[in-house]
Amino acid sequence: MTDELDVRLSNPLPEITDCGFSARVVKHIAVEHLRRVRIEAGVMIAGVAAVLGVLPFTDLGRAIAQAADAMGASVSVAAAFAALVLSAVLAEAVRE
Amino acid sequence: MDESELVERSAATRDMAAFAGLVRMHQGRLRGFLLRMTRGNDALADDLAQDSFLEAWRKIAQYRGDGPFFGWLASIAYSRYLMEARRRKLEPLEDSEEREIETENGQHARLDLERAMAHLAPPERAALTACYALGYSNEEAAKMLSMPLGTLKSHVLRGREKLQMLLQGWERKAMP
Repeated sequence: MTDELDVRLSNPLPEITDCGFSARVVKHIAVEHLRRVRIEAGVMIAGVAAVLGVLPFTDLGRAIAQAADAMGASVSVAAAFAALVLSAVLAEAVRE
Repeated sequence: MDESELVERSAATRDMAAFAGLVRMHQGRLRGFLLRMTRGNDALADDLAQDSFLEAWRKIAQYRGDGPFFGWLASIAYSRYLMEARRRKLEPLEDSEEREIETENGQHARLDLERAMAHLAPPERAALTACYALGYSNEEAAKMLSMPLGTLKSHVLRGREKLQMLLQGWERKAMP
Protein backbone atom coordinates (compact mmCIF):
# COMPACT_ATOMS: atom_id res chain seq x y z
CA MET A 1 0.00 0.00 0.00
CA THR A 2 2.84 2.37 0.89
CA ASP A 3 4.55 1.94 -2.49
CA GLU A 4 1.24 2.21 -4.28
CA LEU A 5 0.44 5.39 -2.40
CA ASP A 6 3.85 6.85 -3.25
CA VAL A 7 3.26 6.12 -6.92
CA ARG A 8 -0.18 7.69 -6.82
CA LEU A 9 1.10 10.75 -4.99
CA SER A 10 3.98 11.16 -7.42
CA ASN A 11 1.68 11.41 -10.43
CA PRO A 12 2.00 14.93 -11.81
CA LEU A 13 -0.90 17.27 -11.22
CA PRO A 14 -3.40 17.21 -14.05
CA GLU A 15 -2.54 19.90 -16.61
CA ILE A 16 -5.47 22.24 -17.02
CA THR A 17 -6.01 23.50 -20.56
CA ASP A 18 -5.63 27.24 -21.04
CA CYS A 19 -9.04 28.02 -22.61
CA GLY A 20 -8.36 31.76 -22.66
CA PHE A 21 -7.09 31.94 -19.07
CA SER A 22 -3.67 33.39 -20.00
CA ALA A 23 -5.28 36.02 -22.23
CA ARG A 24 -7.57 37.10 -19.38
CA VAL A 25 -4.64 37.37 -16.97
CA VAL A 26 -2.56 39.39 -19.43
CA LYS A 27 -5.53 41.69 -20.07
CA HIS A 28 -5.87 42.31 -16.32
CA ILE A 29 -2.16 43.01 -16.05
CA ALA A 30 -2.31 45.49 -18.95
CA VAL A 31 -5.24 47.32 -17.33
CA GLU A 32 -3.44 47.47 -13.99
CA HIS A 33 -0.23 48.61 -15.66
CA LEU A 34 -2.05 51.43 -17.48
CA ARG A 35 -3.79 52.49 -14.25
CA ARG A 36 -0.46 52.62 -12.44
CA VAL A 37 1.18 54.64 -15.23
CA ARG A 38 -1.71 57.13 -15.12
CA ILE A 39 -1.49 57.46 -11.33
CA GLU A 40 2.28 58.01 -11.49
CA ALA A 41 1.89 60.63 -14.23
CA GLY A 42 -0.88 62.35 -12.25
CA VAL A 43 1.24 62.48 -9.12
CA MET A 44 4.19 63.85 -11.05
CA ILE A 45 2.10 66.56 -12.77
CA ALA A 46 0.52 67.55 -9.45
CA GLY A 47 3.99 67.77 -7.86
CA VAL A 48 5.41 69.91 -10.66
CA ALA A 49 2.32 72.17 -10.63
CA ALA A 50 2.63 72.61 -6.86
CA VAL A 51 6.32 73.51 -7.14
CA LEU A 52 5.69 75.93 -10.04
CA GLY A 53 2.81 77.54 -8.15
CA VAL A 54 4.87 78.21 -5.03
CA LEU A 55 8.33 78.84 -6.52
CA PRO A 56 7.84 82.50 -7.68
CA PHE A 57 6.98 83.52 -4.10
CA THR A 58 10.09 82.04 -2.53
CA ASP A 59 13.68 83.34 -2.21
CA LEU A 60 14.85 80.48 -4.41
CA GLY A 61 12.39 81.50 -7.14
CA ARG A 62 13.59 85.09 -7.03
CA ALA A 63 17.22 83.94 -7.18
CA ILE A 64 16.46 81.75 -10.22
CA ALA A 65 14.71 84.69 -11.96
CA GLN A 66 17.69 86.96 -11.33
CA ALA A 67 20.12 84.33 -12.60
CA ALA A 68 18.00 83.84 -15.74
CA ASP A 69 17.99 87.57 -16.38
CA ALA A 70 21.74 87.74 -15.96
CA MET A 71 22.28 84.78 -18.27
CA GLY A 72 19.99 86.28 -20.89
CA ALA A 73 22.04 89.48 -20.88
CA SER A 74 25.38 87.67 -20.98
CA VAL A 75 27.26 87.57 -24.31
CA SER A 76 29.22 84.45 -23.38
CA VAL A 77 26.01 82.46 -22.61
CA ALA A 78 24.51 83.61 -25.93
CA ALA A 79 27.69 82.51 -27.74
CA ALA A 80 27.57 79.11 -26.02
CA PHE A 81 23.94 78.59 -27.10
CA ALA A 82 24.79 79.60 -30.64
CA ALA A 83 27.67 77.08 -30.65
CA LEU A 84 25.32 74.36 -29.40
CA VAL A 85 22.76 75.07 -32.11
CA LEU A 86 25.43 75.17 -34.82
CA SER A 87 26.94 71.85 -33.66
CA ALA A 88 23.49 70.22 -33.69
CA VAL A 89 22.80 71.48 -37.23
CA LEU A 90 26.23 70.31 -38.39
CA ALA A 91 25.77 66.86 -36.78
CA GLU A 92 22.40 66.50 -38.54
CA ALA A 93 23.93 67.50 -41.86
CA VAL A 94 26.76 64.99 -41.48
CA ARG A 95 24.28 62.22 -40.55
CA GLU A 96 22.23 62.93 -43.67
CA MET B 1 12.78 31.92 -25.32
CA ASP B 2 13.39 29.85 -22.19
CA GLU B 3 12.04 30.46 -18.69
CA SER B 4 15.07 32.30 -17.30
CA GLU B 5 15.12 34.71 -20.25
CA LEU B 6 11.42 35.40 -19.85
CA VAL B 7 11.87 36.07 -16.13
CA GLU B 8 14.85 38.35 -16.76
CA ARG B 9 13.04 40.38 -19.40
CA SER B 10 9.89 40.65 -17.29
CA ALA B 11 11.87 41.91 -14.30
CA ALA B 12 14.40 44.14 -16.05
CA THR B 13 12.23 45.89 -18.64
CA ARG B 14 8.70 45.16 -17.38
CA ASP B 15 8.16 43.33 -20.68
CA MET B 16 4.51 42.29 -20.64
CA ALA B 17 4.91 39.93 -23.60
CA ALA B 18 7.66 38.06 -21.75
CA PHE B 19 5.49 37.77 -18.66
CA ALA B 20 2.62 36.53 -20.83
CA GLY B 21 4.96 33.73 -21.90
CA LEU B 22 5.50 32.82 -18.24
CA VAL B 23 1.75 32.83 -17.62
CA ARG B 24 1.17 30.47 -20.55
CA MET B 25 4.04 28.27 -19.42
CA HIS B 26 2.86 27.82 -15.82
CA GLN B 27 -0.89 28.38 -15.77
CA GLY B 28 -1.78 24.70 -16.15
CA ARG B 29 0.28 23.50 -13.20
CA LEU B 30 -0.57 26.46 -10.98
CA ARG B 31 -4.28 26.00 -11.57
CA GLY B 32 -3.88 22.26 -10.96
CA PHE B 33 -2.16 22.98 -7.64
CA LEU B 34 -4.86 25.44 -6.60
CA LEU B 35 -7.61 23.10 -7.76
CA ARG B 36 -6.27 20.53 -5.34
CA MET B 37 -5.92 23.10 -2.57
CA THR B 38 -9.50 24.31 -3.05
CA ARG B 39 -10.77 20.72 -3.17
CA GLY B 40 -11.98 20.94 -6.75
CA ASN B 41 -13.52 24.42 -6.66
CA ASP B 42 -12.39 25.41 -10.14
CA ALA B 43 -13.86 28.94 -10.09
CA LEU B 44 -12.07 29.77 -6.84
CA ALA B 45 -8.87 28.10 -8.09
CA ASP B 46 -8.92 30.22 -11.26
CA ASP B 47 -9.57 33.44 -9.30
CA LEU B 48 -6.67 32.66 -6.99
CA ALA B 49 -4.41 31.78 -9.92
CA GLN B 50 -5.24 35.07 -11.63
CA ASP B 51 -4.55 37.06 -8.45
CA SER B 52 -1.30 35.15 -7.96
CA PHE B 53 -0.08 36.02 -11.46
CA LEU B 54 -0.99 39.67 -10.90
CA GLU B 55 0.97 39.70 -7.64
CA ALA B 56 3.87 37.94 -9.34
CA TRP B 57 3.91 40.64 -12.03
CA ARG B 58 4.06 43.36 -9.36
CA LYS B 59 6.79 41.59 -7.39
CA ILE B 60 8.82 39.95 -10.16
CA ALA B 61 11.85 42.13 -9.40
CA GLN B 62 11.95 40.47 -5.95
CA TYR B 63 12.46 36.99 -7.45
CA ARG B 64 16.15 36.31 -7.00
CA GLY B 65 16.36 33.07 -8.96
CA ASP B 66 17.55 31.06 -5.95
CA GLY B 67 14.90 28.37 -6.50
CA PRO B 68 12.53 27.19 -9.21
CA PHE B 69 10.38 29.99 -10.62
CA PHE B 70 7.28 27.82 -10.32
CA GLY B 71 8.05 27.32 -6.63
CA TRP B 72 8.12 31.09 -6.13
CA LEU B 73 4.84 31.40 -8.03
CA ALA B 74 3.27 28.58 -6.03
CA SER B 75 4.35 30.19 -2.75
CA ILE B 76 2.42 33.34 -3.75
CA ALA B 77 -0.55 31.17 -4.71
CA TYR B 78 -0.41 29.22 -1.44
CA SER B 79 -0.37 32.34 0.72
CA ARG B 80 -3.26 33.75 -1.35
CA TYR B 81 -5.14 30.49 -0.79
CA LEU B 82 -4.52 30.67 2.99
CA MET B 83 -5.76 34.28 3.11
CA GLU B 84 -8.87 33.35 1.15
CA ALA B 85 -9.46 30.28 3.32
CA ARG B 86 -9.29 32.45 6.46
CA ARG B 87 -11.57 35.06 4.90
CA ARG B 88 -14.15 32.54 3.75
CA LYS B 89 -13.63 30.31 6.78
CA LEU B 90 -13.03 27.28 4.58
CA GLU B 91 -13.04 24.44 7.09
CA PRO B 92 -12.00 20.81 6.78
CA LEU B 93 -14.82 18.53 5.66
CA GLU B 94 -17.50 18.03 8.31
CA ASP B 95 -18.19 14.52 9.58
CA SER B 96 -21.52 14.44 7.79
CA GLU B 97 -19.89 15.34 4.48
CA GLU B 98 -17.27 12.70 5.06
CA ARG B 99 -19.87 10.00 5.69
CA GLU B 100 -21.74 11.06 2.59
CA ILE B 101 -18.67 10.72 0.44
CA GLU B 102 -17.80 7.36 1.94
CA THR B 103 -21.22 5.81 1.45
CA GLU B 104 -22.00 7.30 -1.94
CA ASN B 105 -18.65 6.74 -3.53
CA GLY B 106 -17.30 3.78 -1.61
CA GLN B 107 -17.29 1.63 -4.73
CA HIS B 108 -15.25 4.09 -6.75
CA ALA B 109 -13.08 5.61 -4.09
CA ARG B 110 -10.29 3.06 -4.34
CA LEU B 111 -8.35 5.05 -6.87
CA ASP B 112 -9.69 8.39 -5.91
CA LEU B 113 -6.71 10.13 -4.44
CA GLU B 114 -8.18 13.58 -4.95
CA ARG B 115 -11.20 12.72 -2.86
CA ALA B 116 -8.95 11.45 -0.09
CA MET B 117 -6.74 14.53 -0.40
CA ALA B 118 -9.80 16.69 0.23
CA HIS B 119 -9.96 15.26 3.76
CA LEU B 120 -6.49 16.47 4.71
CA ALA B 121 -5.70 19.78 6.37
CA PRO B 122 -4.49 22.41 3.85
CA PRO B 123 -0.82 22.34 4.98
CA GLU B 124 -0.78 18.52 4.68
CA ARG B 125 -2.30 18.68 1.20
CA ALA B 126 0.15 21.39 0.15
CA ALA B 127 3.17 19.59 1.63
CA LEU B 128 2.32 16.28 -0.05
CA THR B 129 1.64 18.00 -3.38
CA ALA B 130 4.89 19.97 -3.27
CA CYS B 131 7.03 16.96 -2.31
CA TYR B 132 5.41 14.35 -4.54
CA ALA B 133 3.40 15.77 -7.46
CA LEU B 134 5.65 18.81 -7.99
CA GLY B 135 8.77 16.81 -7.20
CA TYR B 136 10.45 19.37 -4.93
CA SER B 137 13.00 18.48 -2.29
CA ASN B 138 11.93 18.93 1.33
CA GLU B 139 13.99 22.12 1.54
CA GLU B 140 12.44 23.58 -1.61
CA ALA B 141 8.94 22.62 -0.47
CA ALA B 142 9.50 24.14 2.99
CA LYS B 143 10.63 27.38 1.36
CA MET B 144 7.71 27.37 -1.05
CA LEU B 145 5.20 26.89 1.76
CA SER B 146 7.04 29.22 4.17
CA MET B 147 7.28 26.64 6.92
CA PRO B 148 10.20 25.21 8.89
CA LEU B 149 11.68 21.99 7.49
CA GLY B 150 10.62 19.96 10.53
CA THR B 151 7.04 21.17 10.24
CA LEU B 152 6.97 20.25 6.56
CA LYS B 153 8.24 16.75 7.29
CA SER B 154 5.62 16.19 9.97
CA HIS B 155 2.86 17.42 7.61
CA VAL B 156 4.07 14.98 4.95
CA LEU B 157 4.18 12.12 7.46
CA ARG B 158 0.78 12.87 8.98
CA GLY B 159 -0.78 13.46 5.56
CA ARG B 160 0.49 10.13 4.23
CA GLU B 161 -0.82 8.28 7.28
CA LYS B 162 -4.25 9.85 6.92
CA LEU B 163 -4.37 9.09 3.19
CA GLN B 164 -3.36 5.51 3.81
CA MET B 165 -6.08 5.05 6.43
CA LEU B 166 -8.74 6.66 4.24
CA LEU B 167 -7.84 4.72 1.11
CA GLN B 168 -7.58 1.41 2.98
CA GLY B 169 -10.94 2.05 4.64
CA TRP B 170 -12.56 2.75 1.30
CA GLU B 171 -10.95 -0.32 -0.25
CA ARG B 172 -12.34 -2.53 2.52
CA LYS B 173 -15.81 -1.06 1.98
CA ALA B 174 -15.56 -1.59 -1.76
CA MET B 175 -14.76 -5.30 -1.33
CA PRO B 176 -17.77 -7.59 -1.81
